[in-house]
Amino acid sequence: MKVLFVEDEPVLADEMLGYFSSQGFLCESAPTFSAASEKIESYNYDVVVIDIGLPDGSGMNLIPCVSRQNEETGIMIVSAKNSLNDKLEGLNLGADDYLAKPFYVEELNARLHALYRRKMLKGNRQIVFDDFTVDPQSKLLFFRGKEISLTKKEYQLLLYFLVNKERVVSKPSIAEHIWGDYFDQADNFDTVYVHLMNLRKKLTQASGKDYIKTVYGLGYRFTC
Amino acid sequence: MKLLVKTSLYYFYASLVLLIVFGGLLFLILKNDISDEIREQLDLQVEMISSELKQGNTIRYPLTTIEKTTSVRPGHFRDTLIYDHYQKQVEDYYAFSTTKQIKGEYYVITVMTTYIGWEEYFKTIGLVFLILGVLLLTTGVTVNFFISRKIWQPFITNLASLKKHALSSKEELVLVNTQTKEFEELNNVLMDFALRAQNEYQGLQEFTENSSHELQTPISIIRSRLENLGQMDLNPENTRYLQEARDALARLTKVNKGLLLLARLSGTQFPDVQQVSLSALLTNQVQQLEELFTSRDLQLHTNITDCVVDASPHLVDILLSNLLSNQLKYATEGSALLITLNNKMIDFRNEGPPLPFAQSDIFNRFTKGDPRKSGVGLGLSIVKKICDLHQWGITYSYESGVHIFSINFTR
Repeated sequence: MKVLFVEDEPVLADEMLGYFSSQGFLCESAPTFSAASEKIESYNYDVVVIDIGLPDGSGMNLIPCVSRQNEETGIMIVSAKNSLNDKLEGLNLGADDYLAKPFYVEELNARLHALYRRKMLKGNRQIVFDDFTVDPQSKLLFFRGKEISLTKKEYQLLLYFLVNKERVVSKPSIAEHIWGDYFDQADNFDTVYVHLMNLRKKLTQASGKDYIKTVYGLGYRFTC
Repeated sequence: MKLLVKTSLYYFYASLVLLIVFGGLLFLILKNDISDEIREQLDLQVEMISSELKQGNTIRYPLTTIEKTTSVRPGHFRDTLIYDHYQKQVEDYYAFSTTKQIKGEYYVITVMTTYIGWEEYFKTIGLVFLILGVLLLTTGVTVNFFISRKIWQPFITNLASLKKHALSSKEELVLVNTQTKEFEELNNVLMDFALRAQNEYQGLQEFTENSSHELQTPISIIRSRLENLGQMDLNPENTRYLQEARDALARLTKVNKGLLLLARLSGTQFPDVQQVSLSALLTNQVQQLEELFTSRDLQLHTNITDCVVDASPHLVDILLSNLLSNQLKYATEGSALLITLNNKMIDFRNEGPPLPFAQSDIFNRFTKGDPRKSGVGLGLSIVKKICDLHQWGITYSYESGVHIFSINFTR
C-alpha cells in the first residue's frame, strides 16, 4: 500500500512514517500544502492522509486534487480541531474517513486498512494468517475451512490485532477502538480483558497456538 | 404592574380628586347663589305683603302667617319642616320672619318657600360628575392606551429582540429606531453594551477553543512517543513510570476534549440538525454497552417507545453516552437500572449513595461524585449544554436512594 502523509508536525510525521513503514507500507510525507499538492499531482497513492491545519493552506483544499488525480485513492482526514463542521465538510468534499487528534497509530492503521480494503480491493481480499482465514465481507473467521464463531466485538478485536501485528497495543487503544472515543471507558478495561481472553481461547483451541501475549502493564501483542 | 396600568391608575386618582373638589365647590357656590336668590324673593314677598296690609287689603298668600306682636324683632331666616298633604311627605322649607310696623301696629310676617332640596341638588350634581368622571376616565385611558402603545411599541419590540439575543451568536443586536429621545439613548447604551459583552464572550470562547486546540498537537506528540516507548523492552520500574504517564495523559486528553466540546457547544449552531430517532440511538448504545453493565453486575431495564426529535445525532449520541456512562460509574453494584423513553421525555434511574456535594452543583464543570472514579467531571456539564442547545429541560432529583435524570423534549 502506498501512502502519503500530509502532516506539518515533524514528530508526528516521523512517528507515522516509522510505524507504517514497519508495517510494510510505502510511505511518503509532505509537511506543507504546496509540497503535498506537488506530490499528489506527480505520483499515484492508494491512500492520502491529510492534516487539515497546514501552515500554508487548509488541507481541505487538497481533497478535490486527490479525487481529480485518481478517484480510487482513499482519503483520510486527521484534524486537531475535532469539529463536526470540518468532518462534514471533508466528507462532503470526498474524503472517506475522519480521525480526530490525538489518535492511536493503531487506530489510524486499522482505518487505513479498512479504507484500502474497501476502495482498492473492493472488500474481497481475505486475510490469512497461519491456517486461519478472515473474510472481511462476511466478517467470519475460518480455521482450515471450518468456521469459528466469534462475537462482533471479538471479530473487531481480531481485526485490530491483525493489522497491528507485533505491536504492543494498549488497553485504552483497544477500548477506544471498540467503544468509540467519546465513551468514558477508563473503567472498562476489565471488559477489554474478558473479550481478549475469549478470543485468545478460541484461537488457541482451534490451532493450539497462543497468539495473544500479555505485556505486563503495557498491553497486548499479537504475534503469528 | 404594567406601566400602562400604573399611569392609568395615577390618572384615575388625579381625576377623582379633581372631580370631588370641583363637585363640592360647584355645590357650595350653587347653594350660596340660590340661597341669596331665595332670600331676595322672600324679602320681596314680605315687602309686598306689608304694602298690601298698609292699603288694608286682605292677605291671601299661601304659606304666609301674619300675627300681631308687641315687640320688634329683627328679621331672621330659618329652616322648617312642613307636611305636604298632597305628596304625603315632610318637606324642607325656608322661612323668613320679620316684624313690620303697619298703621302703628306691629305685625310678625312669616313667609316661606320650599327648597328645591339640597339633597336633590347634591344627588344631581354627584350624578353629573360621576358620568363626567366615567367618560373622562374611559376616554382618557383609551387615548392614553393607544398613545402609549404607539410610543412604547419600539421599546416592546426591542425588548423582545433583546430577550432573543444570545451572546453566543455572532449576529449583532439589531434594535428598532425610535423618535423618543429616552428610548434612543437606551438603544444606544444597550447596543454598545451588547456588543462589548458579545466581544468579551466570544473572546473567552475563542480562548478556550484555541487553547484546547493548541494543546491537541503537543498531546498527540506526547501520546505517540509514549506509545512508542511502550513498544520497547522496559523493566518493571520503567513500565510503571510509563503507565502513570499514560494515565495522566489520558486524563489530560479527556479534559481537553471536554473543554473543547463545551466551548464549541456554547459557540456556533451545530450544522447537522435533523429528525433523529432517539429510540434507535438509545437501543443501539444500550446494545453496545450491555456487557459493560453486566460486568458490573447491573441489571439494565429499558422501557423504550418510539421517539423522534429534531436534533443533532452527533450530540444526542454524546448525551446518551454520557448519561449511560454516568449510571455505569455511580450505580450501586448489583442494583437495577431503569431507562424510560417516550415521545415526551427520557429518564435515567439508578440506585446509589447520595451526592457528596450540593444538588445544584451537579451540572457544574469539574464537579465529581467520587474522586477515585476516572471521570474528569465534564460529562454532565456537556449533557446540560446539549440540552440547553436543543431547548430541552433537564432535571436531576434524588428520591429514596435513587438518582433520577430526566429530560423533557417538549420545548
